[in-house]
Amino acid sequence: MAHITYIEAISQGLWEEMERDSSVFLLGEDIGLFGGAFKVTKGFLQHFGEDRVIDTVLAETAILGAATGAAVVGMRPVAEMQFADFVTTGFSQLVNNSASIHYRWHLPCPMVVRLPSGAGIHGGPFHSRNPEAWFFHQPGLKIVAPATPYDAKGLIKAAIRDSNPVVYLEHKRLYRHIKGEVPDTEYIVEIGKGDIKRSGNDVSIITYGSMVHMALEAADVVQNEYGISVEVIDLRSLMPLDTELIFQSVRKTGKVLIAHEDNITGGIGGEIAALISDQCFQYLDAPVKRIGAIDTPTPYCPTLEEFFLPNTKKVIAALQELAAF
Amino acid sequence: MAVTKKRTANSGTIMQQNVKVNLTKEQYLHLYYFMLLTRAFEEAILKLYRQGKIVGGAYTGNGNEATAVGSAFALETKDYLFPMHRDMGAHLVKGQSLRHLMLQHLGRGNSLSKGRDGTGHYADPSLKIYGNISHLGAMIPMAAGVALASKLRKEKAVVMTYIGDGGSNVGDVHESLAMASVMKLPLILIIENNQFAYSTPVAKQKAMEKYSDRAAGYGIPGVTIDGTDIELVYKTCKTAVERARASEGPTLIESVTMRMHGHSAHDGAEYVPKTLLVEWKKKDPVQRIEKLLQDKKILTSTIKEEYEKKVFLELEDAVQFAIDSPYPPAEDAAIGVYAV
Amino acid sequence: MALVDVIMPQMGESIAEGTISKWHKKVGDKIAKDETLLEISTDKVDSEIPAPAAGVVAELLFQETTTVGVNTVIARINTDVNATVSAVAPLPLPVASKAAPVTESTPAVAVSAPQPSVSSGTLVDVIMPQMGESIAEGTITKWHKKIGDKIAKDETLLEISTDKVDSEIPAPAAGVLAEILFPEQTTVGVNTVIAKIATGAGVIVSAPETAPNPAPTVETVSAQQSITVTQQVIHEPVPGGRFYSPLVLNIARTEGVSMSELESIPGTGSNGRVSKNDILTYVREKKSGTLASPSQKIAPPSYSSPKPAAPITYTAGRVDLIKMDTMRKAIAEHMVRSKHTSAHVGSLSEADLTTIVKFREKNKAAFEKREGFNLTYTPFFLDAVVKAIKDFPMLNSSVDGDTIIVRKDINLGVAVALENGLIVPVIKNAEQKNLAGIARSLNDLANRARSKKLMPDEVTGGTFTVTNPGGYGNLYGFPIINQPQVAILGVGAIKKRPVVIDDAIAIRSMVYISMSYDHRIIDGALGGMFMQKVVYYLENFDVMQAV
Repeated sequence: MAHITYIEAISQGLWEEMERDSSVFLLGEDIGLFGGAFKVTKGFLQHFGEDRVIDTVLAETAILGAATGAAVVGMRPVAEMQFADFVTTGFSQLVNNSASIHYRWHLPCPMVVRLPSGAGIHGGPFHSRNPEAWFFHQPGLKIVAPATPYDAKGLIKAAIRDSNPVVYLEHKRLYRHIKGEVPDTEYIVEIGKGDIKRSGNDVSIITYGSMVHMALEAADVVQNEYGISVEVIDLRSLMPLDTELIFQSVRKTGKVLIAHEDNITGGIGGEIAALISDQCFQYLDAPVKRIGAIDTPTPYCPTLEEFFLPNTKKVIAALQELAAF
Repeated sequence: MAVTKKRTANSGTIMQQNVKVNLTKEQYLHLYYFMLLTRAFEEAILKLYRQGKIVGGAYTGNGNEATAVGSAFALETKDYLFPMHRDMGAHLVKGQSLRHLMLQHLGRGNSLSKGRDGTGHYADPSLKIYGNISHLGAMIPMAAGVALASKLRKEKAVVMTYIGDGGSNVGDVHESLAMASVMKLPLILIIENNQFAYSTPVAKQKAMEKYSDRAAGYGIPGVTIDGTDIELVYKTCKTAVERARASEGPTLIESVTMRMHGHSAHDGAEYVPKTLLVEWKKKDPVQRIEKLLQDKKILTSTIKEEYEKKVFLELEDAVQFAIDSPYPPAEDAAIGVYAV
Repeated sequence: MALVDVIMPQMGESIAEGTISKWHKKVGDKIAKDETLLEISTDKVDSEIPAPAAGVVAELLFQETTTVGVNTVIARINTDVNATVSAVAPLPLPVASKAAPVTESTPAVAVSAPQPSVSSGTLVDVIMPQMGESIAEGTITKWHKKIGDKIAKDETLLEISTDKVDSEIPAPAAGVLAEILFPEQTTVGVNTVIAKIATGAGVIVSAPETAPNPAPTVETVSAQQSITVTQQVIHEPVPGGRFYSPLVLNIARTEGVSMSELESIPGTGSNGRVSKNDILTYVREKKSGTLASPSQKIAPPSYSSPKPAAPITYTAGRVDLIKMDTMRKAIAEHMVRSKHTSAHVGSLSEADLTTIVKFREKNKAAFEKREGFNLTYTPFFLDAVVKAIKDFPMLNSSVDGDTIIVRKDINLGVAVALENGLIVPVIKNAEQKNLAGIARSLNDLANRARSKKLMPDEVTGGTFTVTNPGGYGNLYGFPIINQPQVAILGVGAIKKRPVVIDDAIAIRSMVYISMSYDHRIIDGALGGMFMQKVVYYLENFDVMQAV
């Protein structure tokens, strides 16, 4: 077992898949010679050459369209958006072309779009997006959002091997802040399977991405200070959702907190809450609660951003409220 | 490139029309057959539309047949085609069957898209045809991606794609050309300037003289040609294809034609000046190739009759086959969003 | 003869209708395939319509200038080569500008009167079958056909449901459904005629314009409905208004806990809600026979307005007349209004403050030196109150009609006595302050209160108030709630008293704390638990903390 950072896990996964399959190639802005804005692909160009690590023009539509085209004719491109925010300028290619190709053309479209996402890094309105809800609403895309190095590596490998366009959300704040054990041997994490990151009986937290860590911290605090036993479900995949795992946990605890860093309104949490109320109504002992960022653009300065974002303290308060209900 | 060209002060390159074309008699007759087939197919579509048998809209390329047929004729089997909705002739030349095209228009369950989209919106990887979507320009980044794949895999296959005078303004087109030109991708983009983008005249779509002027901005060759002259279309495209195959990068071709019908079958196109139609009718691409082949003593009245009959019978078959084909079962709507 | 329909095409996605502008042919004319039969005009385009087949024009169903819906059959062509169509008697064409779409093209069936009727043929009755010897009635759950529909023999006509079985009922004969005598969800006796099928050649059934008949209204409630009602009865609003979560109701149903039993279970959730654990405990105890007798249900309080006070006369005896100043009038108004608004109830508790007293003695010199003011006991009480509120947020709320507003910010009001009255400055967001922070805010506010330098927003927005009846040495007081809050806590004087600890008498620094709270939303149990939390935090004060 190696103890590595989240960003190293992504790099390792990419590297291993490129070694394994010659149809895998990378394209994006500044990913080659420079190694990427976050250095995920540092050293790749030297090893794999410029036909497989392609520095593109600054044009997100062209990048995503090219990835789609190459995928349709049998290659496995991995496109990097420098920041998740910039996927908006290539949005049409993803939602109009990539997402619907299998339904319309009955052809696989095996591509990965890597989106360095998330706030809490003082990136301001245009370097902090959590864009998952936009893509969640588009049939035909898969979405994954790992929280740990183990899942980050296992999911990038699964995403590359998948026959569908996969939106891979990698949280910038986790890149170098989170370290974890990763096996030395080959493994993948199946897309569509969540993970119980902590088992508990009183309240379930359904979460993903950066909030997994806050949920685990909060669970520790409320266990130690108030004796509240919290189960933390890390979704890992947002599309498809592991609904069975969600329902199983809700049936056990009867109380649910859904936590995501994305804005609360129209976020994925709303859909999960609807599914729970539809499928687990009789098991609910309290209203389904959600926690997320407030409904504003991401503000820049620390005080504003801290207020904007959900955090461990807010999770603790919500857990106490649910436990006392 | 082999094409003779000259630079002008404010434009890209203008292609001279005296380039030699070495087409055999059989090839000329092939071109003629596809021109007739294209015209007849689109007229059949219009009739079916008026009989309420087409599921959605009906779009034709009347006036554009020489561009569609002549351009695709320059491709080889291994090359990729990303046609637009005015390019039914290109589908046919690349090998698509009338039955499949008719099934697409009638939304049948055994169509290539299985009823999930209509018209030329389908993909047929066996023929390397990848249809457009309704967002004009959105297929060009994908076409560039296929060209990239061809380059990376050293296939020596080229990609030909199309856009209209209006659609050429969509940002996707610019981004694709920016990328393709830098990477020297084997991509040929034909801008079909048919004078109108739905109801908007071309004068309201561009301020420069010619669409080919834009090529200079990408450092690639650009030419403007008469899109009703099938020989010229063919030889221009053939040159661009060879250039692309030789890893010399993309070419931009502006093909000037006239949209002789409305934007679609439900558009009466009253906004088009009648004089314009009268003027362009003189350059009707089907009549032009007939005259050309008669002048070359290739086309006799016997051959003409034979071809017309052949086209008629093939269409009858395709229409009947499509009408007799079933819609997909309703519950099929729910399957196939994801590849498994 | 073979008839081919000509329909009004849909000329554009948004187009719903088209107008027949000109017929190029008349009935009896020969027409070639794709030859123009008519011209139409729509919002978008005018177009010539080619014939879908070759033959002889058999019917023109609408006159020129008629507008018809898309996909309506507008003409028919007889494709029989030898067809001879008499041109002498063309069909009378409807002239309505918007004709109803024609949907039935079977020649034998004509269409279009408002009421169902059958003009010829034999009628076969469909009866409610007896599905079992003991069965007296059945409920029609679904009609598979509507009036005018063709039906084959043994094809499913309807579904029924009885006490014993649900079943699909096949048609007894082939024909056209002529009458439906009962709507869905009606329960009828066995052997009742429920529908009629017209059989035989030449049957003409006219389909009604609207949905079939609301047949005789039958009041009988179907068996299926009653079952549903039984299952759902527990979901209905409970008299008394106590809320039960879906899970609690579900457990009650599966464990056979009746509604009246449920109402008797004491709840430990917020507002006395019965939680999952409460009902599971109840069920467990009931099964093991250890259940105490159900507590009496408390009747909901009724609120009646007090009568206006009788006019006061002050003629007797010697008196001083003092005009109330603004503050006094405000206090008077506020206190009376509070008594009228809230159902005051009180609890009294005591806390051992010895630990805090020692802590303060040890730290007060350094504190004063650093902060420039004296560390009093009040911040310790405020700190404990904040912590207890976090455990029981309901104490930090307001009542608006039948809505309870639970405040997330803890804004503590602290009563400060002035020469001519009192004022209650507010420590905003006390939950974000530590002990020293609370002490600083309190000192600042109290000083400025006495020097009348408070800003208006420093005396508003309180969510809970602490007052100090011990300030003059009194053991405890009975405070009045500071509206619109729901509780006020009074701190008595700290006095050394002998107390029994582990059967020994010890001298400890003790304090009484009293609390008045609003019984409308806070019951004795919650109020009591809250006060015990305050006591807990006082007695378990963390002496390691910095101040």
